[in-house]
Amino acid sequence: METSFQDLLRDSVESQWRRFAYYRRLCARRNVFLADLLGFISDGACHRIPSVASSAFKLSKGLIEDLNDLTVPGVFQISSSTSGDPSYVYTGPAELARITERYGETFGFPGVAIGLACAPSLRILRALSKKGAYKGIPAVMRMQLGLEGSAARYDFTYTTVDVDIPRTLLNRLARRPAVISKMSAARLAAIVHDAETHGRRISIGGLTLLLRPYLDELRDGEFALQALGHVAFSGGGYSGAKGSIRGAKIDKPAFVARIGAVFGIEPALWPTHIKDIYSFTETPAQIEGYWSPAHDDFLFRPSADHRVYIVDPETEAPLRSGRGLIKVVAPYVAGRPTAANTSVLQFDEAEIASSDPDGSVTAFTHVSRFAGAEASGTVGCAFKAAEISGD
Amino acid sequence: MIEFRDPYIEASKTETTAGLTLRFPLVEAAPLAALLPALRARSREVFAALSPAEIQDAMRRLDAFFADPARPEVRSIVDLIQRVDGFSRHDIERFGLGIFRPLAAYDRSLVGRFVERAFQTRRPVETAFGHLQRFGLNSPFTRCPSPGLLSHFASGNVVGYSAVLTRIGLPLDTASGGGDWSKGAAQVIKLPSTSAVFPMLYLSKMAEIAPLVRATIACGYWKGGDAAVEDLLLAASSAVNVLGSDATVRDVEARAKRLGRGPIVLGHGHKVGAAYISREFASSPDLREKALAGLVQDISAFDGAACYCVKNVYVQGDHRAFASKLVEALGRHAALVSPVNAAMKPVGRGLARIFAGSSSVLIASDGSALVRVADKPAFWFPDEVYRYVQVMPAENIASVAALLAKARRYLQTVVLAVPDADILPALALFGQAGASNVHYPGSAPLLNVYEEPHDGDFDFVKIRYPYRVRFAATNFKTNADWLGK
Repeated sequence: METSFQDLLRDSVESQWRRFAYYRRLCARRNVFLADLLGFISDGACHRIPSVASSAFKLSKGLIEDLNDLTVPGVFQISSSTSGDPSYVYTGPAELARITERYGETFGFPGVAIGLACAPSLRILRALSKKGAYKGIPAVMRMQLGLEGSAARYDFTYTTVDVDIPRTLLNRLARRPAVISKMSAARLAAIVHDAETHGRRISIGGLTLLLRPYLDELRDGEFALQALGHVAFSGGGYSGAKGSIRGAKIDKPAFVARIGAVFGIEPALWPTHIKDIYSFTETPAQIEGYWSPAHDDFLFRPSADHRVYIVDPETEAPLRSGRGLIKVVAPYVAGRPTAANTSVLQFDEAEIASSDPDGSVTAFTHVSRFAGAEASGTVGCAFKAAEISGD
Repeated sequence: MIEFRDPYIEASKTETTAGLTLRFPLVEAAPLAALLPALRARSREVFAALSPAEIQDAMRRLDAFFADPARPEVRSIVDLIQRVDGFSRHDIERFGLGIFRPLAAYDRSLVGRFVERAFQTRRPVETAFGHLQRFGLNSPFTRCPSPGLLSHFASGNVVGYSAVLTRIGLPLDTASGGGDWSKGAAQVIKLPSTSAVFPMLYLSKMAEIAPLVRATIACGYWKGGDAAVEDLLLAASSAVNVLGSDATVRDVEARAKRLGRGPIVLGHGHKVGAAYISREFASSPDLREKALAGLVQDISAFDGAACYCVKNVYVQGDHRAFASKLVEALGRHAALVSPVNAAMKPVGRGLARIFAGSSSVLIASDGSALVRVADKPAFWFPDEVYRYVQVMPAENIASVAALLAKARRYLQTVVLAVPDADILPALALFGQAGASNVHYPGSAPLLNVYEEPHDGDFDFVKIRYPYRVRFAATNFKTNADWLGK
């Protein structure tokens, strides 16, 4: 384990222990104390650091003030809330800047100057973030950080969903809601054709559920981008739901094949030009995965700033092969966590492709929601589907 | 392969559960158009051929069959449901089949009588098992439709109650000033996607004991929200009984409204149960143990997934001490009496992980139940459906009723442990707040459809006489009715 990671992790875990009584109680239940935690880190046995369940950060659980240190400057990162129950993770300015910058890296491809994001515009995301404020503390949607980070990498960024300002102003007079406009398929095609014609590299991505309707409208061979075309998704949505956006379940191999056919990106380029980003609001870690023909899915490779373990759903012991729950250990950039999320257990399942001798995985694939972990009793939803999808 | 058949439905769907292959009738839109006239015609013939008394007598024989757990056939039924649905044997026997015992023994001459009386007075009416009270004023302009076809869009979170739904459409041997209760309705029942075995077993037994009555019912599965099937049914039905999420109920109501003079919608949406434990029961070790013994059953029944399950517990006195005792009792109940359904164990494990560091949530051994402790009374809407409650302090019955009134659309069952003198005042206060069933501890799931409303309504009356009032009832008269059991 490299020193910088180990040092940051030690600082983060020690700080988390001192700041959060919740975490001390959680550890005590497992007969783990600070000396043990520091020992685990020294021994390179990070999988033994007890995790906080990612769902604990959900608003409905009532633990926001137990899990977040609101005494220091910061804002809440909030999730898009597919379940209608967003997570609130308090984050300081330095960590927020790092997460945003990291999104720029993960969404970026060398030499790409044009970004076409199948996503709501920053205007919409900022408005939704504003609505998410909790007890007067501002909030920012994680999706907004992703878009800000990626937009900073490109010379031009286009988004496919925005507010129709003239019609919205008219509606305001009648006290009606804002009007959302969706980019037409022809406009999207014109942007891609322009890049193709001028030999400019373009990155197409964002939310799978917002890209798919365009794929249905465009024909095979519409473009011939080949190496000029890059694709980067984030936020999942393959089950057919993201936030309150709803659609049919996405068959990943067929979806990627359709992208290749429409944008003219040959299969040999998919393992270097089509990627997905696995991340969730409760961890700063972002894990990139390129398309892997051998797995017929994206193959995610954790980077040096975090560790991923695939663990047994019951015992949380790290697995060497097969499927299990995803546990992420990611220290804070300054080693001082503002939330108790240095070690997080996410209720997602994944399959191990390869792992290190210490049990951390070096590649994983076939990520899916862990069935049966929740029997939601919540009602309502975080934001209206119509606002985003424009339906 | 276990195949369940319906006399009106040809198509089927097959599923494999717990190593068993099960085949259920499948309702499809195209054949449904022809099915409905045939069902209605056959029902008219049956209701003309059989008197309400004969029908009720046949149903009593059917109830008596399921009310006897010693029968080998009933034991096999319990085994099958346990294997397929995963519910504990205790819950299936005590709460699933348990609803049939009082029905089988019920004096038929009393069916509907207490409701008639409650329409005439605002005072509590003494019933066979408790009291029934009306709230609100009725309109003198209520039309009395003839119940032609009744559709049930049922959900499958428990055993037992789904079977009792069939009673709503069957004629009663009693006549009222409001509507003719002796008219029967043809019925179409949606088989839920889960817990579908019991309704089919019940109808199979009905086909043996009361074949003509069975001929008035068509039962099969369709995907909830399937517009092709449901719009046909909504257009053809005089009443629709919907048990499901609030969104489902609202959706059906909106679609029924669009039909103009559409069917009466009996909406049974999401409910959140409550319990009130008075100082007398919280402070006396003996009474507290008895209240706890009942309460754990009301919380744990069908793993907390039923509408009647207690979620909010208001304690007059030391609520923290009560919460500690409650979590211990819940753990014992899961270990010794009613184990958690294997399918729900990951939910318990997940919640236990989430609250492992919380100082305000008590976790029963191996995550079999969770008790949140709050120091201010509130109406708590559970974030997950499980054996999971919140315990809070309470000033008195009136203050809790006032609190619950703010969440009246979620109210149904209130479990009550109070001195005898407070039972009727509690019925008035909780009934006014919006609750409809005030039960003694340990009996939350045991609804007697003959003298208790379901979500404030007697559906068997409402499809024939769509009144505007609400009802609430107790299932006990004094504490001697349950403390001695």
